[in-house]
Amino acid sequence: MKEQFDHLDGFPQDEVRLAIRTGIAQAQEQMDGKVKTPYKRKITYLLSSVAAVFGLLFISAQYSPAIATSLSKIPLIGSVFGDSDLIGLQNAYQEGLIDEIGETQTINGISVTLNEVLYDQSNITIGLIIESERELGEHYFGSGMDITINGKLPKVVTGSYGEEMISSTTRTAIQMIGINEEMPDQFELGLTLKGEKGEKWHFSTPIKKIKDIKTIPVQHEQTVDGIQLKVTEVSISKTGVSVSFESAEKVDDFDKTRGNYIDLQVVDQDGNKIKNLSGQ
Amino acid sequence: MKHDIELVEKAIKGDAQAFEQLLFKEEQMLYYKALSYFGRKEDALDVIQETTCKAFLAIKDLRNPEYFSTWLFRILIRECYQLLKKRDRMIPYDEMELLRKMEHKQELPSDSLHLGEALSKLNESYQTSIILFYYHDLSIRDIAEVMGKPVGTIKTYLRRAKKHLKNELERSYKFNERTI
Repeated sequence: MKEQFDHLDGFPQDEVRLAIRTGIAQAQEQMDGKVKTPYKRKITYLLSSVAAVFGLLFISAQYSPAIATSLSKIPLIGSVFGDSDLIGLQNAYQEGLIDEIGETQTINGISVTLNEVLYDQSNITIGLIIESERELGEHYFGSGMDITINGKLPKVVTGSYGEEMISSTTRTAIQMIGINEEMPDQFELGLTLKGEKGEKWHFSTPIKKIKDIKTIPVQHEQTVDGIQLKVTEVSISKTGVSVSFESAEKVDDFDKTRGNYIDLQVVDQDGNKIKNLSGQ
Repeated sequence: MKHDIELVEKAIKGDAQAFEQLLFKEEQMLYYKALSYFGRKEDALDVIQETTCKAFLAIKDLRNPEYFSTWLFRILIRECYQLLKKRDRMIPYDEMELLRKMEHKQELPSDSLHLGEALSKLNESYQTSIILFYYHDLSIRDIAEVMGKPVGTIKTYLRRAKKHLKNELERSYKFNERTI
């Protein structure tokens, strides 16, 4: 790295040290309350002597009843969740667990409707309907929405965003955000979707975690091949079953952690494998 | 860089002198890393000051002293990214070095002479992900933290960016082949 800049003047040690000292003084003033920071954010970092990976494994409920919705009763896009191929979301739709929002905002001839939200034990799932006057590119909305929790940016966000093309000018989108300890059981969820041409569709809606989530603490720990795996809890609701686990291993390089690749198999009391697993 | 664990532990307990000593040991690395993002001494010094402040406020939460250095540089990179974003500037990179790294990982067709041009056609998020991943060797998890996006989103950015780059480079290669 240093060699890259050898053509520049030498290392300005005095100035760097002054910057360090000023930075420390600035922090001390903030700690003493002399200076008010524009925002206070607790910074935590995952990297440690053991690389910790927290996982949540979602199992679609096996006891779900067959989907009995009559297609004739559903408009073109009645529910993004109900029409999705995710069993957990279909169950939530069937059980009436979703919050129907139905707020539409139109910018540049593109209407984005925040159709529904589900906050269960594993995810906050958001269903969008996007309709446009003209045909839009496949990646027009990038990789999904930015979120805020009670107006503040979360420290860590995990999740996924996917779209389904209904026609050349209509698509639905599902954004899933993994739950973490920053999220209270109810809060104001801010969502911003950005378009390729700089459009910003912003929504804000109060959300509440669904009731009747049964949580069973497990705290079972095993070490195999240097990986310490701890299953912390199992949560069951009408939308599915979640298994929370943490894995830890000693590594020099965070990239080499194997925790992300742990595959859990869930079996019933007779040893039969339960299918329809998804994880994050 | 490995540090004296006792010194880090003192810093964690709020000892400003211990913290200062630790940062002095990292001073050259901090400076040249910041300079690699900005190319200007004044900006590098601003980022070091801000990083020091944030790190001192947050060190009480550092759980594993042996990773002090890695932890500190993650804060520095995050600050660099945020300042660049605020100024609406792209992360600078050396095109030949990026090309060498991407070719080494066999991510691009060989002799991709128009990488800079192809990269400039990508949207900002894709460019940033590619540069942080291949040029600055950040892990996907670190990029996610720096950019404040989910890990899955960064993977998507990288996948799409590589696809766009390949298409663009193959197209420019064919075009040049025809014009020769």
